[in-house]
Formats: sequence, C-alpha cells, structure tokens
Amino acid sequence: MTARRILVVEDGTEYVDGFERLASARGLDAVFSRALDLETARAALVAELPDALFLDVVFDRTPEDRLAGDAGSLVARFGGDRARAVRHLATHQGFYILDALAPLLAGVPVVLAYDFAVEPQRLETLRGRVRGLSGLPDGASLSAALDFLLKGK
Amino acid sequence: MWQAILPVLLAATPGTVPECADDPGSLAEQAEGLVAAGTPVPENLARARDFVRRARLASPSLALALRGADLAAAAGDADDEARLLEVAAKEAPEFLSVAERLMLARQAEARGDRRGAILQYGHVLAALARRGQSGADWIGESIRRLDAEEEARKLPERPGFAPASADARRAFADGKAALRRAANEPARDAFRRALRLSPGYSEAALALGSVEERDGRTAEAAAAYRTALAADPDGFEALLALANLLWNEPDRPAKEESLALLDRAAALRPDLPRLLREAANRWAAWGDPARALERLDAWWPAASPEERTGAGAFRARLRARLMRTGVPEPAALASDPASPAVGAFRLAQVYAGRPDARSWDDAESELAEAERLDPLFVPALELRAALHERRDDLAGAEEVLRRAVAVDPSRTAAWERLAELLARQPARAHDAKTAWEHAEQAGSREALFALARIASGEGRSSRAAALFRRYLAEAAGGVHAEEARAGLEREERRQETLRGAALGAGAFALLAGGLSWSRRRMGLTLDEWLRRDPGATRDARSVAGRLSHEAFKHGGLLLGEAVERLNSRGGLAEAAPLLVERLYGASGAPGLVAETRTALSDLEALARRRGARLNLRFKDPLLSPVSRSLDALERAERDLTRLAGTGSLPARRLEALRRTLRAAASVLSSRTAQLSTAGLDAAGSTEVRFDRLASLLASVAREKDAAEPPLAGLGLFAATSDGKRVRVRVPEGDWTTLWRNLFANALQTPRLALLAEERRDPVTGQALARFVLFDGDPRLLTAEMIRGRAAERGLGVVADLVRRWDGLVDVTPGTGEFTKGVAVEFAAVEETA
Repeated sequence: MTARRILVVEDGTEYVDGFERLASARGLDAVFSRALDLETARAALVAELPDALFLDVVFDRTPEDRLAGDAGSLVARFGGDRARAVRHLATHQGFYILDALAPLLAGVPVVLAYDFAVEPQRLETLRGRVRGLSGLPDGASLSAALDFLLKGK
Repeated sequence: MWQAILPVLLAATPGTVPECADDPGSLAEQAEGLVAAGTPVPENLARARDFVRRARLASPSLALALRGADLAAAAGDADDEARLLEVAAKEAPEFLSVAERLMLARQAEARGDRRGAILQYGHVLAALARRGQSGADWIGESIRRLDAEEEARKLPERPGFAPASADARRAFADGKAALRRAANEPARDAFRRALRLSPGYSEAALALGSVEERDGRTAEAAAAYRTALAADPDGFEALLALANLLWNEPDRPAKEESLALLDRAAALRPDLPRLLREAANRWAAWGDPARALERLDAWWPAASPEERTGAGAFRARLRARLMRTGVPEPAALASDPASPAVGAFRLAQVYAGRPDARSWDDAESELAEAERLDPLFVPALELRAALHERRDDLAGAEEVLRRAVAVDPSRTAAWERLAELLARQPARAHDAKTAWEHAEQAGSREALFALARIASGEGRSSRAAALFRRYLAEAAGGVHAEEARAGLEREERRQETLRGAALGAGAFALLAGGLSWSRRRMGLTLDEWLRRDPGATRDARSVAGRLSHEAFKHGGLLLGEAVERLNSRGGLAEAAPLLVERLYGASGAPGLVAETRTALSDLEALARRRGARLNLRFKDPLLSPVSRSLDALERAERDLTRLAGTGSLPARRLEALRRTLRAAASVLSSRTAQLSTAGLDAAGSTEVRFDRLASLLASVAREKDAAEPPLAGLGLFAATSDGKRVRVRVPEGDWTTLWRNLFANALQTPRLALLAEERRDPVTGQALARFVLFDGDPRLLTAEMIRGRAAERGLGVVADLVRRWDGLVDVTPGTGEFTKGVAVEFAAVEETA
C-alpha cells in the first residue's frame, strides 16, 4: 500500500511538525510535505498530486510580495490604504490560497485551519467552490485533523 | 434694532475734520461720503468698508463696529457682519435683539466657533426666560451638543510610542527605590534618565511630575504630567494630577484647563463618583452653576443618604443661582486669578525655578511683594514655604504653610507639603499625621498612602489595608502603586495570621473567603467592560484574537495531543520535550504560557488606557480559569522539564502532572474561544433595522431644523422584506454616529432611499452587509472626496468610522430622481440556529 501524501501549507512548521510526530507515534504510513505560499503550494499540488491538503489561514510571517491576492485592487477597495490591504491579505491568506487553488482541488479533501462554528453559511459558500472543504474547530486536536486528512472523514 | 441708533452714535465719532488720511474721523467721514446717496455701487461700498475698517483699527468704537456691520450686511458679507456685531455686542449687549443673537449663534456655529455659538444661544435663552417664555428646549439641546463637540475636539490624539526599553525600566526602578528612601534628587535624575531612554514612558513622566510637585516646582511638574498624558492621553493618574496641580495655579486659563481635565478623569472612572462631586465644587467656584449642577446631579444617585443630606444646601444654592440670572457670574475662587499678587507671584515662580541662591533671593522679594498686595493669595505662600525648605528653614516653612491652610483649608497641596515637612522631623510624627488627615479630607491621594503606612507602623492592620485599597482604587497606576500593592498583601497576610490565631481555623476560612470575595468583586470582567465601552471592541478583538490563536488554538492542540498520550505507555515522557519547548519557550522565544500571559496583560493594559480596570485573574468567569491554568502550568514546569530530561518522575508527581495537563486542556479549548468571540460579537455589533434608521433620520432633521425627506426602503429594507434583521460588526454608538452624519448631509434632497443587502466576500466567503443611501443632491461627491475630508466634518466622520471598523465607503451612481448613493459596507454577524 502506498503512503498517503499530505500537503501542508503554512508559514511556519507547527502543523507539519505536529502531524509528522503524531504519524510517527502511531506508526502511520504518511508522507508530509510543506509549502510556504501559494506558488510553492501550486507547484507541489501539480508535482506531488497529494491525497489531502491542510491549509493554515494567517500568514503573518510571509513577506508582502509572496502573499497571494490582488493587492492592487484591495488597496483601491480600502481607499488607498496599503497597510490595511496587506494586513487583510496576511490575516485571510489561507482563503486567498484556497481560492487560487480551487480549480486544482477537485475531490481532494482540504482542512482549513479556521473554526466555522459560528459561520456555517460561510463554510457552505466556500464548499460551493471546494467540495471537500472542512474547518478545524478551535479546540480540535491535531489527531482529529490528521484522521480527516488520512481517511477523509 | 441697532440700526435705529446708528446715526446718533456716528455723530459722536471723534475727529470729524479731515486732517489726515488715517484720522479715524476723517476715514469715517470719507466712508459716509461714498455711501451717502442711495444704493452705492459695489466699488464704493467696498472702499467705504475699507475706510471704516481702517478707522476702527485706529480708534475702535461701538459706532464704527456697528457701521462696519451695516456696510458688511449691505455687501452681503454675513461673516463679517456677524463678527462686527459680536464686537458691538461685547460693548453694548443691550443693542442686540433676540433675533440678532440667534443669527449670531447660527453664524458662529457655521464657522465652527462653538464657544461663541454657546454664548449667543445662552443670551437668547436668558432673554426668553426674562420674558417668561418657554418652548425653546432645542436651544438647550444645541448648547449641550456644542459643549460636547467642543470637549471632544480637545481630546488628544493617541500617539504611538515604543514600549519602555529595559534600560529605561531599570532607571525607573532606581528612581522608585530612591523615592522610598525619600531621596528626591536622585529619584528625579533617575526618572529623567528613564524618559530620555524612552520618551513615551508615561509611568516615569508621572513619577517625575510627582517629585517636582513635592518640591514646589510647579511648572516642571506640569510639564512632566503633560508628557505622561502625551504618551497616554487617557492616563487617569496623570489627568487627575495635572487637574489638581493646575487648579492650584492662580491664572484662569490654568483653572479652565484643570476643569476640563477633571471632567475627563471623572468620565474615565465612573466608579469614583467623588470626582463628580469635586467637579461640581470646582465648577461652582469657577462661577458656572449650570455645569456644577449637572455634575452634582450625576453624582447624586451614587451618593449615600448622609452625603446627599450634606450636599442638599449646596444643590439648592446652585439652583437658586441658576434661576437668578442668565448673565454669567463672576468667578468666586479661593485664589482669585484677578488678584493683584499674580504678577509678582509669576515673577517669583520664574526666579524660584533657577538654580542659584541669588535668584531665590529675588523670588523671596517678589513673594513679599505678592503677600503685601494680597495677604490671602495662597499660591505665593506655598512657594514661599518651598523656598524656606530649600534653605533648611523648616520652622519658617511650617509657619508659612500653616498660614496657607488657614486661608484655604480645602487646599490639598498645602496640607500635603505641611505633612511632608513635619514627617521629616521625627519628633513631629503626631503633627504630621494630623496634617495628613487634613490632606486626606481635602481629597489627597498621597495622604491615603501616607496614612496607610502610618497605620501599618502603628499595627492597625485593617485600617492600613483599607487605606492601601483606597489608594489602589483611586490611583492604580500612581507613583506608590507597587508599594501599596505590596503593603496591602502584607497587611492581608498579617490580618490572616492575627485573626487565624485569635479565631481559629473557622474564622480564618471566613477571612480567606472574604478576601477572595473582595478580590472577585474588584474591577470589571471582559464582558462588563465591553458592555460599558463597546468602542473598545475593535482593539480588544485583536488582542483577544491573539489569545485565541496562541492559547486556545495552538495551546488547545498541543495539550489535547498530550492528553491523548496520557493513557499510552510512556506517552507523556515522549511528549514532554515538545511540551516543555512549546509551553515554556526555547532559544529565547517565549513559550505559550508567556505569550498567553502577555495577551492577558495587554488586554488589561488596553482597558486601563481606556479608563477601566479589568479583573481577569479573579473575577472574569471566562478568563480567570485561563489564568489559573497558566499558574498551574508554571508550577508544573520543573516536573515537566525533569520528565523531558530523564524520562521518568516519581509516581505521585507524575499523576499530579497528568491532572494539571488534563485541567489545562479542558480550559484552553474551543469552548473558551467561542465564548470569547461571542462576547466580543455581542458588544461590538449592532442589529440594523429600517424603522430605527428612519427614526434616526427624523431626529436628525428635527435637530437641524429641516424638513424630513421621505425615506424609502429598498432591498432587505423593502416593505415585503420588513422585519429582516441584519447585524453588523460595528458598536451601536459608532453605527448611530455614522448614520447621523450621512443623514445630516442628505437633508436638502426632496427624497431619500435606503438600500440594504447582504452579500459574501467572493474570496473569503465572509458575510457582509451593504447599505446605500440614495439622494437627489446634484452636487458632485466622490469616494475620494469623502475619504479626504477632515474627520471632524460631516462625511469625514463617516470615512473615519468606516476605517475604524474595517468597512468600505463608496459613491455609486443613482437612477431616476436619485443622482447618487453613498454606500457603506461592513462585516456582518451570521445568524446561526
């Protein structure tokens, strides 16, 4: 049986480290790779064809020029306030990466590190584009997230 | 009305023979020549106005002011007419009719002169009252609004300073240590050094101000307090300290500023009603019974029955004064700003601030002169005492200070200085205590601390604890706050011991319960604070977001994983190295426990800056368990580190460690995050309904004395959708302000329409609510024009609020009779089942 391939998109190493430790402790057959931003995630999606994707939301350690999203139109939308536009992109970066990757994600289970408990309609809206999308409740353990990524449940 | 007597007045203008071009009489005559025959041509009118202007400059007179106003009216220059009528009104108020006063008020308001407008509206009210006419409540409302706008305009911007550096904090600690030794000079140097290292270090500035004030260096103390306020505009202690300092100054501008500062302090600390009582006293002394009564009435519900009885006569006097006349009363201040001693006193202040003994001699001479001119002028006596002290003439200083408090027994500063002077003489401890008691009765916070220490030294533990508590309640960030906290803890421990010995275990438990009860009662919970100050939600959300991210999400994941391993063989030992690294930090990076503590203390600091005191540690039902979990995790560090290093731990300690981790994991969880978000949402959001906005439009129209344009609802606000509710992430106060401004700018249009729609952000999927106010105003308006306006003007306020709450503002084209629409969009709260 081939190992399950999981792509983790985050601006640090917290999640990928945690998944690797858990998988190793449980003796699971899984391979984790990590992408730092949209471009490396897109390349990894195409090259590695992962079985599942884990996506962080806040990318406040990513340089401004590596953030996904149309900064120019956001600056215009925020009345010329560039700092606000960049802050918006960084704090919602996971959503922007998800939006850009959506056409490549057909059938791939995706866990977004965002708690949709008080915004169920928001989750449904996003599922309109990425059918396999799930959120990560604030108190959920990494194990639960890993179970979902490995088994799609 | 005044036009009728103008010819008579002009006839009395001096020097009517044209001797030279700049002679006022000649200029006035030339002006009359130009406008004498019927309606003058505009050029002649302009020249005539110029002649009158020059004549007024050379020799101002009532007649020329009125003539200037007349010519300005003829030229259609309403602003100049109003300005000149105001000049005339100051000299001869009886010449102006009520209608003219009203016009002056309107024009003053239009040009942003709120004080001028209030004055004129006040005259109108007084005139109506004299005629026994009522029904002009709107004038009173206008005055209140203008007064509030003026106060709001004076509020300082919040500056951004870097946190104090480690060196600055060390210097500050040195200063406080010096203060404890009563070594003022080294303390001053240390505080100054701290400020040089970190210019925005408000605590250091506050402490420096306190030292300067004790040394009688008023100007330096005021400068230091202003520095503290510049760094922290809502710093309660600095506000109050500067208010008290300036109130003791002899000039009117200082007292006026002091009154404004005290009002701000009272607004920041509604839990200290005595500030309102003090403000009432001072406004009364200032000669403004209306403001005094307003503050007294605000204090009334919080006062005890005894206090009300005591204040009854004062209240009655204020009401009587208010009824007596509409003319402002002359100020009846203890230290009369109009005292003939002021000039000499000012000079003495300058000399006293210089370092050389010769200047001090000059200061003494000036003070002697001040005292000769006005023996009851207290500030001169206080400065004189400070000079005596500098020369180690303690007896002389005491004699002068005793005279000062005899003249004005309510003067805090004089009592404090007398008490400090006596306290420096070991044999006079009893006298010092008496002086401190007088100072405390006069409202001194310094006296609370001094009396607490005295009580502690005398072994009166409960009295000492009560005084320390009062000091901390009234000066939480004050210069003695740390010592007071330590003192309070010491006294509480002492009481526990004493009572424990006397009453046994039962009484001890009761006391501990009482203490715990009192700790639980002090301060506000996060929810209570946000309900009182919904505007804080935005800043609080960012700190709470960090808390949620660090503690509840990362912490929850980490601890959840650890708990899962507890039951596996050797599981916890394997997880220990990671737990140690993440919980307590590694390679200089702070761990989760420290990050969470920082987020909690940032939340408390944010509240403090906005004048509230949070009690997250003991009172907050949501966050006090978090604090306790952090305590437990900190206590577990040693065992967890040992387990990570050696792989084993004695069974009992291992079991205790498991319990700690389980308990922490249950607190640092999704439920805490959800409750925290729900609290912020409830405080920081507003339910939007069409009927409420329509009623707001009617109210704005009434205020502006304008016809209310009919308002149609569109989209979610259309009749068929009536009852549809939208909740936006904007606190109610700001939401109302935003619409007041939008409506106020749209009153001139014959009809309005308001569209509401919900949408989703195309990328993030977030719920958004969009509102468009359509009008038929043909004047050009663009989004850039809205964003570019100064924040205090109409639509500029809208732009400011939109920015604050992360929304958008735009101008969209209209259709049919509507030329355009102003659109605002904000995040909406999703309705959940």
